[in-house]
Order: sequence, then C-alpha cells, then structure tokens
Amino acid sequence: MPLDHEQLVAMYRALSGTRIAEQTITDLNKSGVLRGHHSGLGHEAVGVAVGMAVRPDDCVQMSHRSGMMLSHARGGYSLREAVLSQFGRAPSHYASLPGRPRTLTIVGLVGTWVPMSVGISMADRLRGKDTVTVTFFGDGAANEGAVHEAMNLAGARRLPMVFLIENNGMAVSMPTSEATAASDFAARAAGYGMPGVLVDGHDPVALHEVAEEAVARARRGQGPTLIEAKLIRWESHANGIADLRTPEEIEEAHRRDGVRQLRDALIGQGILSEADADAIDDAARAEVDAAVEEGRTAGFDMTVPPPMDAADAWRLTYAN
Amino acid sequence: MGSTLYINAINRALHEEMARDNEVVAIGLDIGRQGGLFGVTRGLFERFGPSRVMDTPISEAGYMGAAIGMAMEGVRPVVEIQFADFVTVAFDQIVTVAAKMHYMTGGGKNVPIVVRLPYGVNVSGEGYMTGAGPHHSQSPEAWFCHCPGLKVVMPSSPADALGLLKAAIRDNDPVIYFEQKGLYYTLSGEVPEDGEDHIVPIGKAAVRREGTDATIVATGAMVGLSLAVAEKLAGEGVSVEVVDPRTLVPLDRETLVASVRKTGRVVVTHEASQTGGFGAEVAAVLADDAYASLRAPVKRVAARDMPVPAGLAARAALPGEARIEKAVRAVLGK
Repeated sequence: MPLDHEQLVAMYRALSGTRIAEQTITDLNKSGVLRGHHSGLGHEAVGVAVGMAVRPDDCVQMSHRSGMMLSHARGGYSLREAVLSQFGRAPSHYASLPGRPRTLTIVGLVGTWVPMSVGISMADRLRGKDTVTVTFFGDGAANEGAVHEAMNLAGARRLPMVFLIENNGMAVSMPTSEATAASDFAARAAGYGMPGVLVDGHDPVALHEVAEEAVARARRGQGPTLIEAKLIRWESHANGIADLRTPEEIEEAHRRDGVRQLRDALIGQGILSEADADAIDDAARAEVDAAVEEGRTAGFDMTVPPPMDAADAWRLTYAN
Repeated sequence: MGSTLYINAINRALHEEMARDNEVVAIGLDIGRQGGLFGVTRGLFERFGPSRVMDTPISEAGYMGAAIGMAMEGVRPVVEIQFADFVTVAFDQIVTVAAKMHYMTGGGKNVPIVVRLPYGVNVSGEGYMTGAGPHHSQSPEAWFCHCPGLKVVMPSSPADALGLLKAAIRDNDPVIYFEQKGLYYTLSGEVPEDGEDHIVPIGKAAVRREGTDATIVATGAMVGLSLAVAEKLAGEGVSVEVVDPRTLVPLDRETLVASVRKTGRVVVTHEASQTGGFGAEVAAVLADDAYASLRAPVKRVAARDMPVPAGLAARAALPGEARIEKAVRAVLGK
C-alpha cells in the first residue's frame, strides 16, 4: 500500500532525526570524544523504510550501519537514547528490552550472525506464530559461506523471512565489483528458490514498497525474499580507517541522498512547507544536542577497567 | 538396574527428555527417517514427528546457527554433528555466537543447546570402524575447552552417557557432548531401570577404581583401558586409582587433587593428540593445586601429534594399554 501523507511525514521525521543523530555521532568519533564507530551515514533510508514495514512482534536482526535508524523508525528508541548509548549511558539499539519492538542481536563477525535469524524463524514456526524475521547484512558478509547456508535452509523450509543485503559497494577496502563477478547479489536468490529484488538503497519510498511486499509475502506463507539495496556509504569503513574511494564517488553518494530527496519531494508536493521541514529538523537537532551535553557531563572514562573477580567472570559468561 | 549398550543409553536420554519437555527438539543430518548414521536417534522421528526431529541439508554452519537462534527463543535443540570432525564447519557458530551470547547480551539471552559430537575410533578392534581416517576419527575436545562460555562433557559409560546427556539438555548453557563412537556397540554397562530419571551432574568427576600408589586420569575410551591396566598391575601388588573427570569444563579440581594428595603420582591419558591437549590442563591444575603432593613428574599418554591414520594403523598413533602401563611404571620409578 502506498504511504499516505501522514506516513510520509513520519518517514521524513525519522530520516531527518536519525541523519542528524548519525552525523553528530560520526563527528564525535572523528574528533576523538568517542572512540570507534562504523558510521551509518548514507544508510538511513534502508533502516527507516524497513522499520516502517514490519510489526513490533516481527523479529529484526539489524546491521551495524542502519540498525539505529531502524530501531528509531519502529518506535521506542529515541534519538536521545541513540546518542547516549554511544556514551555508554543507554542501551544500544541491539538490546532486547521488554515493551520494545522485537530485535535479534548480531555478532562481531559479518555473515556469522545470519544463520541465527533462521533459527528465530524456525522457533516462531514451532510456536505457530505469524511473525516474519528480517535479517540485515552487507555486501561483504554476502560472500561468507554461512550466509549461503542460511539462505538455502530458509528456502528449503520456506520460512517467513526477508534477507536484506545493504550493498554499499565496499567491504572495508574491497569493492563489490572485485569481490564477485556477478553484478547483483539479488540474482543469487534464484539459487535458493526465492525471489530476488533489486532496489535503490537511497530511495526510502521505493525501499518501503519492496520491504512491505516481501514481509507480506512471507506472512502469507509464500516463503523468503532476498532484497538487495544498492547504496553508497558516506564515510570510510570505520573512523580511523582510510577511505580509498575518489572524491567523485563520495560526491555521488551525497548527490543521491535519500533524506534530502524526500524532503524536496514533500515540499514539492505541498505535503510540507519549507518551514514545516525546518521545524522537524530543528526539533531533532535540539534533542540530539541535549543528549550530547547529557552524555558529556555524565562523565565517561573508558580507561578505567571495572573490578572483576572469578565469580563475576563466571556469572557473566555462563547462565548457570 | 539392567545392562545396555552405550548407544542405547544415549538414545534413551533423547527419548526421555523429548517426552518430558516439548521444548526439546533434535536437529542434524539423517537423524529422522534414517535414525542417524550410527542409529543414535532411532525412533525419535516416528514418535515425535518432523516438527521436532528435523533433518537438515548438509550445512553445519547453517543448522548450528539455526539451533542457536531457536535456543535464544527458549527451544532446547540437541544438535547432532554426524562426525565430530565436521564441527569445524560450525565452529564459528559455536565459538562466536553460542559461547558469547550470555556475556554479550548482559545475561539477557542464553543458548541452551547441546551439541552431540561422535568422536574417536574404536580402540577395541571389534565392531565398526577401527580408524576411519584423518577426517572421521578425531577427538577435538580441547578446541572447546579453550572457549569460555561452553561446557564440555565426555561420558565413558552407558550410565554416564544417559545421565550426562539428560543433564546437558536441562542445562541453560551450550554444552558440547562428546560421545565415543567406538563404544556405541562395543561397550555395555549397568544403567538404572527405564522410567528412573537418572541425572549425572555436570562438573562432577568419578573415581572409577580406588588405589593408593598412582592415579590415572582418563577420559572416554581411555577409562576402560586404564581400568584394565590397573587390574593387571594389581596382580603385581600395585594399587592404581582411576579418575574419570566426565566433565572437562567446568573441571572437578577437588576430586583430582584429592586423588593426587593420596597417591602423589599421576598419568593423564586421552585419545586426542598431545600438544595443547586436555592432559596439559590437568597437569597444570595439579601443578597449581597439588604441587607439594607430587612425587614424580606428571606423565601424559595421548595420541601422537599426527592425523589419525585409517584402519588398524590408527592403533599405532593412539594411546593403548601398553603405553598407559609403561607410563604408570615410569611415574612409580619401576
């Protein structure tokens, strides 16, 4: 179903807010206030669009790029929390918390996390739920063996799942074009007996349409879908790691910016005035700035290790 | 009490636990209509159906990861890896995902899976599989002992195979369950009557034979060989104690130390290769906790550091009664 005006404005609010939060977090890392971030700039559209296409009881396994945007768009995860989590003062968007939309954690090895999502879907089926499981991973992870095994298993069992590849064209420094001879990951879907859909990863409206259809298809019992969202990240792999791309390639990312495109479209169609859009941006900026201030004054010292004894270590490592 | 085969004890544990708790499911290759390549899962498919006894494509990372995901939702999957050797394909899922989930989620999620690993060769020389070659015969327990977040058990008797599997299924952490596939059809032993809920607690060693002159710490198939050696030496008036840790992680240090305080002389034996093996850990624990009691250096009797040869040649690489006996004589200074 096409998004109505109210939903389009909500989409813009989420895009603008998470862009401002992500830009701020990226800048704080670049300036050394925070240490260590995989910037999601350029990935806002895919996170927000998919977040608006799933139910709270659907399980989404988010990526390190667009997870914050997705959690925010699903509701319950504020920009304030997004910023404070970077200061270690609020749960991250990966956390499973009561009353919040259902999430599944990832792990520090890309691709490795994907089979886990297949198990969530299998558990939901055992319990007779009508939920859908969505898993995000990148172009780098897409070449891992575990991802192949997971998609094959989901196809064979016709599980209600969506596999979403955020193809940002670069795995640290390895261009997608050198990592695989195929031009599109979406074409791999045929090998798993599922549809493969290619979509512009900067276009939030197109992404939403594709995601909504894939989720609906899964819920109808027609099995999994593979979606490949092609986009360009704005920043290098992580802060402190050199960006080997040309300035032209990065300019292209900014030229295709989905946040600005939706803003222009909504103003062009008379859904928002310039002043309305500015007000949305300003409110987000105020929330983000206040959260930064709160995070900085709360005190944050990563150089002091917390005390730990053998009993603590066991309790943290084992359930019983 | 009645006598049963090692393999039947494992099968019984699966039947009992799946009947007791609907959350217990089985997943693996050929475990359904086939009943498992070795026959361990016989009857489960017919009794519990395809939704709880899940055959999967050959994709160890895929189904191990799926089992972990199910476990995070409160399901209790028992994963059969057809040969312990094949676990390398799923190693990343176990080490990266399962072992660290409780820690990574601040205790919010745990992974109550059991990974059943049929390992080793048939040291008896009777029945199926003497040495099944380098890719179907390994004893890779040390790989998992080195990974915090996992528990590792290794039953050497039918009663322990039954009781430890039931305990592992009820445990809230990932448990790696090593079943010695050479013992499946060659070892029988007493087990409690059907219907008796026999649990062997994880983390408790067993003293298999009491003695005063030397201690053999043995795991898996080495327990039987060590008991035979102890019996032989008893004929010469040498009193050998045999201790079976049963659980490798967490290790029952107290039982090991108590034995060594009594005997002062130790041989550690396992089927796995020597370097970096579990025996090194036992030797280190005894050096830490029982140094003053040791009257001779700890001796290890393990497989040679080489791939396990196929066929009867496996016996040249693996520890046997002769090498265990020689090591006991060495620590006794005889």
